[in-house]
Amino acid sequence: MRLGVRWRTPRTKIIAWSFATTAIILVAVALVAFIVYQRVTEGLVIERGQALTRLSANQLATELGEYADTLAALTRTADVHGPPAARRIALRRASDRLAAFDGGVLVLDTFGTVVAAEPERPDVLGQDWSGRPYFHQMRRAPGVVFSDVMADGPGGAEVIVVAVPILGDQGEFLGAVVGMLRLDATATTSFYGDVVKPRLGESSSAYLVDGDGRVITHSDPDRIGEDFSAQAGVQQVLKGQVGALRTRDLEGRDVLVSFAPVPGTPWGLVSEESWAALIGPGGGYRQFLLLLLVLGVVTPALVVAAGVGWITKPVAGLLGAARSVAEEDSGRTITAQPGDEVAELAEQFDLVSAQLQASYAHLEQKVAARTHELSTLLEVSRNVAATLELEPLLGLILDQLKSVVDYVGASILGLDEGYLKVLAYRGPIPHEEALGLRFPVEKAVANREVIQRRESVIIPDVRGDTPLAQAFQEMAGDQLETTFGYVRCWMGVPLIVKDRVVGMLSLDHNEPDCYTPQQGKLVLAFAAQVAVAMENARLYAETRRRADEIQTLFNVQQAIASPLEWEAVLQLIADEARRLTATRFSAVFLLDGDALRLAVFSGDPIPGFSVGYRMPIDQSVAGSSLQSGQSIPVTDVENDPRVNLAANQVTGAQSFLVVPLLTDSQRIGVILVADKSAEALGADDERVLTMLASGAVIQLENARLYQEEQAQRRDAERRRQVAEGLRGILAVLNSNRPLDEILDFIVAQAVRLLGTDAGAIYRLQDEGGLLSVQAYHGLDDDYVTMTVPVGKGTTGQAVLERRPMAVPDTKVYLANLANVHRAAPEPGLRKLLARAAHRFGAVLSVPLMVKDQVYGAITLYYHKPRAFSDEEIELAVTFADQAALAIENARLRARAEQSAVVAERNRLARDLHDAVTQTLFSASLIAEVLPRLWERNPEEGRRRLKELRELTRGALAEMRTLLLELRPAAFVDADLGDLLRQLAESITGRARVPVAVEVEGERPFPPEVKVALYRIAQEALNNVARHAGASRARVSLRSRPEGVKLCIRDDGCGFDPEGISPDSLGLGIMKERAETIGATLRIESQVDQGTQVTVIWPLDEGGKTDG
Amino acid sequence: MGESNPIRVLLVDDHAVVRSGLAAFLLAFDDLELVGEAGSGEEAVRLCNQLRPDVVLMDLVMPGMDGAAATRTIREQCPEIQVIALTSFKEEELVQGALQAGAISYLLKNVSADELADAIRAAHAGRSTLAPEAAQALVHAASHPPPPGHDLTHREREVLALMVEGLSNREIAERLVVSHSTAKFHVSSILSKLGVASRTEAVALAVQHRLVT
Repeated sequence: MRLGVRWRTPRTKIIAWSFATTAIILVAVALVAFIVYQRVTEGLVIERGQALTRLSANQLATELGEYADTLAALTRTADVHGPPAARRIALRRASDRLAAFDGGVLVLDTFGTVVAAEPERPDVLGQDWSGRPYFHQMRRAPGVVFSDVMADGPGGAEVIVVAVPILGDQGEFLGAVVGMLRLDATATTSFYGDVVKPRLGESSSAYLVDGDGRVITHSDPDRIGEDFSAQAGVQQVLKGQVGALRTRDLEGRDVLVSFAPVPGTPWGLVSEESWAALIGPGGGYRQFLLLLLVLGVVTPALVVAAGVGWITKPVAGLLGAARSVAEEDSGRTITAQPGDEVAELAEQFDLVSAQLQASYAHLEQKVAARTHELSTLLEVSRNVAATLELEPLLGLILDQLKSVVDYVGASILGLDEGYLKVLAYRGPIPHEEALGLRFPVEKAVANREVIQRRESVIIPDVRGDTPLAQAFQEMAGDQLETTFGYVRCWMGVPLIVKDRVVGMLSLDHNEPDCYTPQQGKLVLAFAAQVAVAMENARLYAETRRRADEIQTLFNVQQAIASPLEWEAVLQLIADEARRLTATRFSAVFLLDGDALRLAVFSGDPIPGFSVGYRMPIDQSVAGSSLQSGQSIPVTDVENDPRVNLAANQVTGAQSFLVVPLLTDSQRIGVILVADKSAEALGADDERVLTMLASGAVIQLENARLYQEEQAQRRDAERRRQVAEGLRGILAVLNSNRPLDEILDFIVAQAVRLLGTDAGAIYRLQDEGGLLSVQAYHGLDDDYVTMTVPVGKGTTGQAVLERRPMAVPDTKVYLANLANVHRAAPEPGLRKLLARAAHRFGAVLSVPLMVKDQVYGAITLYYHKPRAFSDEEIELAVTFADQAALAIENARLRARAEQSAVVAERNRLARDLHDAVTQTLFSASLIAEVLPRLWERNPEEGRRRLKELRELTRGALAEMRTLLLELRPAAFVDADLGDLLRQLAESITGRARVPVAVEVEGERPFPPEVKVALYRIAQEALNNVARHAGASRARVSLRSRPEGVKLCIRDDGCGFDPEGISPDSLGLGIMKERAETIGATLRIESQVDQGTQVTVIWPLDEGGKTDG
Repeated sequence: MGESNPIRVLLVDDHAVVRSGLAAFLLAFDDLELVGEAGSGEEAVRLCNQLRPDVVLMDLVMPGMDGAAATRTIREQCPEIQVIALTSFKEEELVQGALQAGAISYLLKNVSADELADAIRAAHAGRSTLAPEAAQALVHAASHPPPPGHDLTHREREVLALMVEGLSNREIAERLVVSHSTAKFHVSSILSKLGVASRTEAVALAVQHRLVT
């Protein structure tokens, strides 16, 4: 239960609604009353203060009047009119009466001069006080005057003055008597005693202010003399107003200030009272009022709450009870005062509650029963799932059924070929007897009903006369009174699995009418479990059999997948076929021509029926099976016309089954089993055999495919090798390897790829039509030194006839040669051929041809005689093509190289020729115009003549150089110094640059050194002529014992060695030439600094080679 | 041919010896005046712009800018200058090149002084002079059989190179990232352009004529 207020209950709502209005009204009333009270109290207090103050002021005035009267009495004495002395005396005499004036009493004359004082005040005697305000006032209007505070007292003390005029007989003003009251005086004086009277208590204070607002008297003496003119009350009272107001005093307290002017004076009386003190007495009433208010709120609340609670209590009870009921605590009752609607409700509720309780109890019972049934069923199904042994399981199910549906006897019957056989029984009939019972379905009407209707059938009383009861009696027959004597009530339930009735469950009881349709349904559920158990058992048995077959098949397939030979696999298949079909023997026949050949046999050996046994296709069952593609069982061997008698005589088979081995497109053979031991060969055997047949087919197909694939793979591999070999040859062809090496490679590849034992490439020698071995592989050295004439031998023939020659068997070939061309082979060749034929059984020779030109032949030798396929010959031709190409390439390359040498020489010659042409052209022009020039200017003519001389000499030198180029042998004899001079002259002539030559020391050079040094000098001088723009050049050759130094120097433009590629300017060629003779070449140059090329040839090394 | 107005001649030849001879030659004729000598094509172009000669004697074979190129530039920049090609070569390409570049005459360096002087005068007058050998070369410029494989495209040369390497059509296709049929097409195109019947012959020809590098 929840604690706290439940806001939504009707009770709370009622309370809240009724209470809220009451409380609001009450609070309003209380507030108004309180405010009114407050107002009235305040008004009263203020009025009271006002009245009190006015009263006090009036009283004060009266008392002050007494002071004035005292002085007035004095004025009326004659002495005061008299001379001053008399006045003094008069004063003194009256001093007792005047004692109240503690500031003393003075007498002023008409002019305001102080004429007498009591007590004596010599300081003021004779002073003119006509300026004092009170004097002025009296002169204007004779009468008593009370002054403001002024400092006229003795010693300048502050006093207030009471002045009474002295009037003559006719009322003329004769002077004044002035009484002074000291401000700082204590309460001992009568004046203060009078004034202090109006004090109202501790909480209040009162004070008197003069016309300027200064304090004359105050209940707090310390404040006397202070200026209060700024205070509100003082300001109002000085204006002559009477009143009271609530304000804050100097200390900030909440006070009521009452004020009233003192009549007859310019003064005002002010009293301050604490507001709290004033109001305090009324506080009790206020508290009482508040208490009333609280009571006004609380009382109705309590009353309403109690009332509503009382009214709604039964409702709450009803609620609680309903809740309890909802929480399954039924049967709760509620008490309520009668005669109320609520009470009626409660009664109804009690009724409902009781009914609920009853139905709950019933339900619980039912649930318990159902739970038991279900748990039993669950247990049954668990058992069904857990065990595959049928008999004990069925018994267990019956036992469990009994705890749910009572019976005397119960049996489970299996439907088997029109009979219901008892599989399990519980009851009074002896077990063995019960298990032997069989009921023909057709005859047992009750049972048939069950099976046909597929639902529970109940016979309430088997002794009754319903058709079913009579049917039962009929079925029981004799046993009605004996075996089934106890049975009165009977129930049969079908066992159904997958819409198939597999049996029946029957219960009987010795009391009639004890089974209800509900129980029928319940038993049906058990029956379903029984059916499942029976089905499981059946499936299990079948599965076991299948598993065996599958295992076999698996074994077969494994065997197929294994690298076993196909015969071994077929043997395995045959063995398994025999085992699975439980036959005497099994055999696999394979199609072989027009017969079936026994390939595999399994069983005890039969004489005359072994592997290789042949059976004609058209006269055997096996043949028929193969041709029709159908399995053929033969059960009656004797009378079956298809049976091959011969075979049957050998095997002595009584019955057999043949299954064909077929692929999609091919008939392979048959598999057969013969003579089943126990029974006839049936559908199961056919199935098993068909299965194994397909395995055999796969195996045989695999074997065939494998062989094909192997062949294809070999073929592909060979092709690949050939392609690679050819590519290798092409690569070699395109390399710059020497021809012999290339041919060696080709012949080796040919031998490898064609799988020959030896091979050779013969080359047609240029002269004489002889073929000699150019490259070989696997042949003896002496064999290859022989030459073969064109037209002789295999190779010679191939070359002559320009086509491949294949000799499958050399001995035959040789014999033919001997017969047909007895005289043809010369003895030497004949011997060679004989030797070859002795060593090699087969020869293949292919001519090497490019563009109709024959270069020779490639000949391949095999140790053993063999036939050559077109493909092999083609491949050999390919190799021949490659070899021919290699030879052709080599020839072309040689020719190209040769022509390159010629071209190089031609180029040099042309260059030189060109140079000579230039020089000669120039010379001829000069020569032509020389006479004319000489005529005009002999000096110029002489100069040109000299030039002409130089030109012709240069031309001569160039011509000599040209000769050298055209006839390199001339180098050998020439002296290097002479050659250099000649070079220099030609450059001088051609480039018009004087070239000096210095030769120091003399020694012979090897020709290649001479040529190299000459070429370097030539290249360097060419550069001078072409690029240097030099004005002169110098060539020096120094031969020393330690070496030779050649130096070519010019003063031309030079170049930056860093910024120039080594190939330009012929620098690379110069370096190469130097390197070939083991010399070092140095080129030094800078821009605008000329160029120097230095070659140093170390003599020690060169000397040795020179010898 | 007034003495007051000689023909201004510029000599261009990389051979100093030739320039020297030609200078001597010009000295002998009053109506010819040497205004400058250039040793290269570049220098010739520069001097032409600077000196504005009437006639240029231009050698053709020179390192750097050759005579034909120099002639073309000069004729483009100063069309009034006549250029006479003077060379020792009579090859047909050189003759054609020089004339196409704008040379008015083509003389060989076997010309006599008077002939040369006449040719200069003729050129100045706008008349052409051709050495007989040059004329011959022009006439002979009929047909010269082109070398085999001159008409192979760049792609075909690539394919041929791969054939020489010994690749099959399929491998060529893979290497060049083209379809097999494209490679096959190239190969057959190459065979027909080279006028050969087989790959082997094509490869041989390619090697022989250095069609692939």
